[in-house]
Amino acid sequence: MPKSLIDLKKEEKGVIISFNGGKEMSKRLMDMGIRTGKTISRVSSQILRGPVILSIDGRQTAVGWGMASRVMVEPARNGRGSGNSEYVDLKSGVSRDSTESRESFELRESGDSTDSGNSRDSDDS
Amino acid sequence: MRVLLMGNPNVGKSAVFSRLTGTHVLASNYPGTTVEYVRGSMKLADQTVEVVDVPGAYSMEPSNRAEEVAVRMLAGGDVIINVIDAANLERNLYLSLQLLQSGKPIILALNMWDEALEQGIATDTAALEKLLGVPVVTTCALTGDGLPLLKNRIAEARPGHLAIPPGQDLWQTISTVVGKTQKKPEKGPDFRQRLADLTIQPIAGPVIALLVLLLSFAFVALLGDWLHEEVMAELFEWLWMPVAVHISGALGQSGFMHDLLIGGLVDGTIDFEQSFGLITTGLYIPLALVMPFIFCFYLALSLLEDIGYLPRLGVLVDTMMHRMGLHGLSIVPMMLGIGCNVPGAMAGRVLETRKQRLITATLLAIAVPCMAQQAMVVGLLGRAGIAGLAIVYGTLFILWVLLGMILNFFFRGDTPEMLIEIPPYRRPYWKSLSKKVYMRMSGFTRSALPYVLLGVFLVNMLYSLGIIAIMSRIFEPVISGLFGLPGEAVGALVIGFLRKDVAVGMLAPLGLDPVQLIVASVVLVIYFPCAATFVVMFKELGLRDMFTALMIMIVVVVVVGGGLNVLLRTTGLF
Repeated sequence: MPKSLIDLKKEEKGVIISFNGGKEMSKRLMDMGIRTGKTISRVSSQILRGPVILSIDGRQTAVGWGMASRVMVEPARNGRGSGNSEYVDLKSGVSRDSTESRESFELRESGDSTDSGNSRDSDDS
Repeated sequence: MRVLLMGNPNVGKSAVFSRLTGTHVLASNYPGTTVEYVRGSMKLADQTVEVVDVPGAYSMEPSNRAEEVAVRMLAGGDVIINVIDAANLERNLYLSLQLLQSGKPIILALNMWDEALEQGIATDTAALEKLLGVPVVTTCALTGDGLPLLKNRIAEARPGHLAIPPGQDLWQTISTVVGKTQKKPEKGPDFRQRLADLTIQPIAGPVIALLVLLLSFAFVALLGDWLHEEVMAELFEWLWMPVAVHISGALGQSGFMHDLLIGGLVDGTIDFEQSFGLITTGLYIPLALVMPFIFCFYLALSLLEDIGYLPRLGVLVDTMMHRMGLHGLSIVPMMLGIGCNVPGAMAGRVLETRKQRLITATLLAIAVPCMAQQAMVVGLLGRAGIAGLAIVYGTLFILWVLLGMILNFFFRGDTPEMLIEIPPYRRPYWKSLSKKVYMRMSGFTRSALPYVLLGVFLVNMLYSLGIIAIMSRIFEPVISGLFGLPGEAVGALVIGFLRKDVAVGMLAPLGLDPVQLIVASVVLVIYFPCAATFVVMFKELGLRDMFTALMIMIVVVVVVGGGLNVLLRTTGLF
């Protein structure tokens, strides 16, 4: 079952399968190498919806809670990424399905700032 | 010819730049140290070549200010040195491939090579060179290893010939390239890594942060005080006092010139702290009173920076900072501001939105005292015990948080979420550390010394022309009625426009009681930024936002200064 980064337990691994967010957010994440097909593991998180820290290729990145809640991962069972999903098409990885509106409703508190402060292209679908 | 240093944030471009040009720019272990580009020059085969340290970018399709600058710079470059974190080849190659597509001559510098080797990462540079079609050099900019080779091979830089197969995107190509050239050992987090990760865990993290900050504070306060008392004050007493006494005698112990150079005699002798002459207090304040603390502070800060602790501190305070309309990374300008508000306000550029920059600059100017001022406050108030200091710092901290929350409520605009790479902890390299401390120290002496002397000069002028006396009478109602300070304190407030350390120094001869000292210290922190900070705030914020910040300042100083006075008097704590 795919779940979001924030549902991943500490030190649990998963493969990124999609982003439930705007184009801008996905681009910023992907530019930093956080992209579909990569195996990540969660290092830690902060209390009160603080940033989630994930490890990718041995390097750590702090991702804001709202953003992290929109990164969907497939938990890896044997502790390692399955590898066969290595190249999900990146363009379709930017999901625009119905879950988005539900997600953004739930995350209203932090969701309004999710798209890097650039509301221009956040929900233009 | 113009050589551009380009690459992801925090891969060591600034360190390579320093090595190539021999000029020193600040390099730190966190992303975004360079927001605007920095120029320098180097000799290359008898030719002088321009070198530009371009701000870090993840992509050539910009999504922040630094990346926009990088894209603009790319067009004007003749050769590109693409600096790469050797231990993180895959992510770094995304930018490299985009740079290759520009058709510009490129040379790759696999930087932090030593770190990659230490992690057991094996990279076939020859294969990489062949695949990309550009020269690849391994470097360690911190120690300088590989830099001569990089310089020698700049001439070989050429446009790459990597063809991206049709139907493939950049990441697929990168994956192929990395697969053929780099082997990473597969291992989970080891003991060292787990220990490092403790500093960002929900409970252990804040506890460690508190310890680190307390230790740093104690280090600065204790070592700074020791250096002041036992070294600098002694030096002044032994070496400078005879000279000053001689000059004082030659000037006949009184008169205008004597007052200006030596100042007033306290019980017939020169008092470096209270005489207020140019060559007595004017030199003593910056060199003997302030410099020891500045030195200790920058030593501690630079150490925390180079180790890589600041981004982690940013993660820990992120939630709190969001309440104040900021995000975790704003802790960096704040920490720099504790040294001096000027670099703090400039570091605010790293923040994405206008709202964040405005709040950061306002908080810095109002609630963050610079080290020069703190040194004086500690010197003055510390004699009356630690409680007074605790009230000053406590008031300022509460003000910092509350004001941030209020500003967040009133200022429109967004605060983006934090998205930042957490660099691995690195062993500080003493050579670059000492160079950094030296740079910051010389920055202080260059900018502070003339201003302090000018401040002391003005104090004497204003007093001898009777202007202070006139202003004391005019502002007496506010100063005395509201803050409970004697009218003469207005002199300190006037000079505070120029230098806050001199302003605090002016309180010394007034014989204030502890409550007055506390109120005066807090008021001097809040009421107006010093001239240098004012200029930088104006440059960074523009006229309108600057004006907003000043209005807020006036309201805050009246409320906090007056409130503190009433509170301390009525509770009779002192």
